[in-house]
Amino acid sequence: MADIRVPKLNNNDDEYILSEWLVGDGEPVKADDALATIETSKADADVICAEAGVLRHAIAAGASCAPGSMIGQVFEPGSPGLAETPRVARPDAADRGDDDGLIITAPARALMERSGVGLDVVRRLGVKVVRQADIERLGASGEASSTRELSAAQRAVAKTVIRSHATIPSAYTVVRVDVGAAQVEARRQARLLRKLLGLPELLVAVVSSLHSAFPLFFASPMDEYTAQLSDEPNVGVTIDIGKGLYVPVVKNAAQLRLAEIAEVLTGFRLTAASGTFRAAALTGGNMTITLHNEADIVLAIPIIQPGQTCALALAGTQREADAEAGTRAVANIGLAYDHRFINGRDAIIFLQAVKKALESPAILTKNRMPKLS
Amino acid sequence: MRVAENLNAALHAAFESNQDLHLLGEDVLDPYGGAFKITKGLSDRFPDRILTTPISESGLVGVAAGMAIVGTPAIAEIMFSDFAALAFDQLVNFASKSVTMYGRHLALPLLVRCPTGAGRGYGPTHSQSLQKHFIGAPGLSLYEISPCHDNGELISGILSRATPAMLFEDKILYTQQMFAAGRADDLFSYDFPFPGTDIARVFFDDPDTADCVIIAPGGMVYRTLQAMHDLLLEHEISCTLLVPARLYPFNAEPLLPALRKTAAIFVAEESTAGGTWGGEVAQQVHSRIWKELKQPVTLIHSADSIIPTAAHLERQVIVRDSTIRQAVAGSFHG
Repeated sequence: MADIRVPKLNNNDDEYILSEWLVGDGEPVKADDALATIETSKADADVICAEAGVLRHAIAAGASCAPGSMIGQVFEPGSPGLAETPRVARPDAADRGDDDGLIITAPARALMERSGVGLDVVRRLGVKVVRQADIERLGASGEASSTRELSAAQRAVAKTVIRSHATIPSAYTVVRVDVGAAQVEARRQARLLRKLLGLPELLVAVVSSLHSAFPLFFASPMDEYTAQLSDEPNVGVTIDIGKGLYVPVVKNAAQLRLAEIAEVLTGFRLTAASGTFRAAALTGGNMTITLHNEADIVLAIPIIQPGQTCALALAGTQREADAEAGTRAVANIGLAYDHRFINGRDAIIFLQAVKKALESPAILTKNRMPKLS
Repeated sequence: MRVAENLNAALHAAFESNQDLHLLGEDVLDPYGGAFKITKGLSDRFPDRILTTPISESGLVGVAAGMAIVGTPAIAEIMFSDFAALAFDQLVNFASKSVTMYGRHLALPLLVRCPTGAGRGYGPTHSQSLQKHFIGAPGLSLYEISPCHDNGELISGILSRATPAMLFEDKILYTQQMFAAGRADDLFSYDFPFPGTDIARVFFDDPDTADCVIIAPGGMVYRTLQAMHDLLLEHEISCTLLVPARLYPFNAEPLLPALRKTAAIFVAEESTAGGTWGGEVAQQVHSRIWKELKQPVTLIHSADSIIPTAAHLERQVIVRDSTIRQAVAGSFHG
């Protein structure tokens, strides 16, 4: 008999949700079978079976589970423990689904959301099924209220931001980049490669090409005075299309052609729009680019993700007067950095390298033409 | 325990306790054990009393009725209840009449088992629910299996009454679980609160305060339960479900106190439209408490159609949980 335990999937969540059993209670399983899907505040991950046997669920689908907790057991077929272990309650197709079996009707749930009544309060009602009248009894009118509970995804963002501000002494430097040539090159490449391609894709390519020259910018602090250098640039890019902020990671970005970077980012946007990120897509980053490249956005100061030493922010493209050309397109690129590991001088050199590469992008894309294989 | 296992165990128990009991049907012998495996293991244990027959429903029901009339209790299995139509004459003109036709009451322990209903894509002539055609034949009782009613008690009760009976067995229900220990699922409970009847009640919280009552035979129970879940959680409409094991004769009298308290009454069944069992139930309720009802009894049944084979078309014809949910929600929300 072996316990099935929940792996630790991220640093943000104290508990996850077992969203689905992929193998039924009492069904046979083989080693390496995916047993269940676990939903963290940001991503889905599968729980894999270590050894063959018969699966017995310990918690129902929809229940919450902490990292390291036991969600089921695998027995040898016909073993006495199998018969003695009780089955969990049959999960239901209907809308159930809070951690402790609390059932809330749809009208009650809607009123809770409108009036900002939290689960904790409702739990104390002590009723089996919470109805609209129960919420009304709590004094919720359904009118706009002054409080709101954060979603699970936003709570994870909040935790990260708090930790970043509490633990990372950051400084900030910003550089102005003439992006006219980069825009032209991006359009040319987009037509050539038939990919959605713009400044963000070029910036990922530029930044990843600086990995070997600026190792501390891709490092992970181990303590106050030591940083672990990385083998390859894994560049996180912020994606927020209104369904929550995600930072999926372009893995080993220096080895990717521009077309491949464009494909990866397009995939991220599609996932953000229609699905759920897998945990693997959101982990392993050692540098972050935050995208604020919307019209008239002048400046953005990104937070540095705990475990990294810096983050870039791409602001919007502006037109400004130019003595020779009349007007030119410029964008501000800011660098927030952990001052323990990076000084202002390093930041300036790094930003100037970014600026130089973006202002002569043909070199960059030429170097990234299809590799001979 | 699945309903099919419970029914199979009930037959084994009946053959153990009654040395005269016989069973006749098509392909009922082991190792096949019947098209739905309900007779599995019987012919191995009781080889002299399980008789496999040619494909002749009229013949096999006639033989079973003949055995019963001379005192040998007999169970006949009709592989698909659609073909009970072929035994209509034996049941209506011979078996049910014989109980009274000879000048004195005659015991006639005959049970005709009828796997029934749609949902498997078996098409127009293997998917029907023909209960309604056998209603109103004096001396013929109709029963239906359910997840609430233990088939051991049900079958021993039917045989001990020793009058011709049909037992309709929903084919989808075979694969579903029997309710146990008073729990229909994690939300709904069940009990038998009407003394002297076999009517089960599936309810949530306080059944006396339920917004509506649904009366349905056993084959409808899981679909109705799903609808009741959705109605409670989506619309906050609470329903109580009443499930009689005996569909005919049906006596609404013991239910009237419960029916008087509720805002709406529904009868749900899988039969296609026209001349339904629900019409019979509604008429009884209307004639007794019409003035106390807030609205007439609503009948929920399958469409006025043959039952198509193609799954997506079959779904459009047959009563589903969504059919019940819409009928109930519609009556409350207009």
